[in-house]
Amino acid sequence: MIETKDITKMVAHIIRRDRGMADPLIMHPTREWFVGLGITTLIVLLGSWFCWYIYTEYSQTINTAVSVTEPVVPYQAATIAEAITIYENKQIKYSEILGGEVITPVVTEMATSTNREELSTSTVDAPVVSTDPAPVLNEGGLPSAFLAP
Amino acid sequence: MNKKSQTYLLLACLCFLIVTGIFLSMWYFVNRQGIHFDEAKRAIAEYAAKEAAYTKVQGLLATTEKDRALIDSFFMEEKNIILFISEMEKNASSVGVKLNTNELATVPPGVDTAGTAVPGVLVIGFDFTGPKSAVQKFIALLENIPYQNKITDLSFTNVDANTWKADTSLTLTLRYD
Repeated sequence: MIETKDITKMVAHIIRRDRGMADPLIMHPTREWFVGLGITTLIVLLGSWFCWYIYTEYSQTINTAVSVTEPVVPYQAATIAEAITIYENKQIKYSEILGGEVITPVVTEMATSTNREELSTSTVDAPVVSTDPAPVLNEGGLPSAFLAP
Repeated sequence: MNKKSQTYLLLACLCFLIVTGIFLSMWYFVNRQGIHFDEAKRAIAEYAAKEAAYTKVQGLLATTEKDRALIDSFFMEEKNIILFISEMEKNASSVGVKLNTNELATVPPGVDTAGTAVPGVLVIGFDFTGPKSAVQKFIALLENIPYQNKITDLSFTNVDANTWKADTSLTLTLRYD
């Protein structure tokens, strides 16, 4: 008669683990050869990709033109023109007061530039000589320029 | 593993290490050359920018030469002070006032308390006497002196029915080349 002890022994025999070397641990020359070949191919491919990457990167850098930042040279052409106009007007009035010959500049060429944005190309007409009498003081008052800040 | 296999393994490891070393050193040299290249490129860009700025400033100086000369003429030079006073005296007599220069001083350029550069100035004081219209005319003349100037003080005195006296002080900005 089969007892429980015998059944347990049979099951243990069936499900018992193989205590020998597992297959992956056993050397297979063909398998190892192909694994080595695969790793070598992978290294060669990665190296090639890296070489190609560096080559293309530096090729692009070399071919890229050096970008030069155009410096901005500040020049307030409008302020200069305004100042010149003011002083030319003063000069004209000064000559008028003295009764001398008034210089009548027809056109005063100001700063001219064709390729610079900050140097606006401008031709400023000189102020027309006024026919008004010379500025004089009001009765008991001061000329406006004295009152100006 | 037998002895022959161990020798092969050792040789393979050695070869791998040598190849890895060569690869890493080449990578290092390539990167170093790349860094040098970038530095050289940056230096070239800086040089080109400086050259562009120089050319631009040169062009600016050439195109604004007339304007600068004109603006220079709006500032009094120290050597012309006596000439200016002589001219004012001549103008005073032509206008019809008697002119007296009561103050003459130059203040050299400096820096104010806020650290702003202050130009040198000529402080000049005049008093002049004459008929009212002549006095007015001479004040207008002073107001329109074609130099950068500022009238800092002005006072009138009625000397008699037909004679007025004006006392004025003005500062003219000096130009030092």
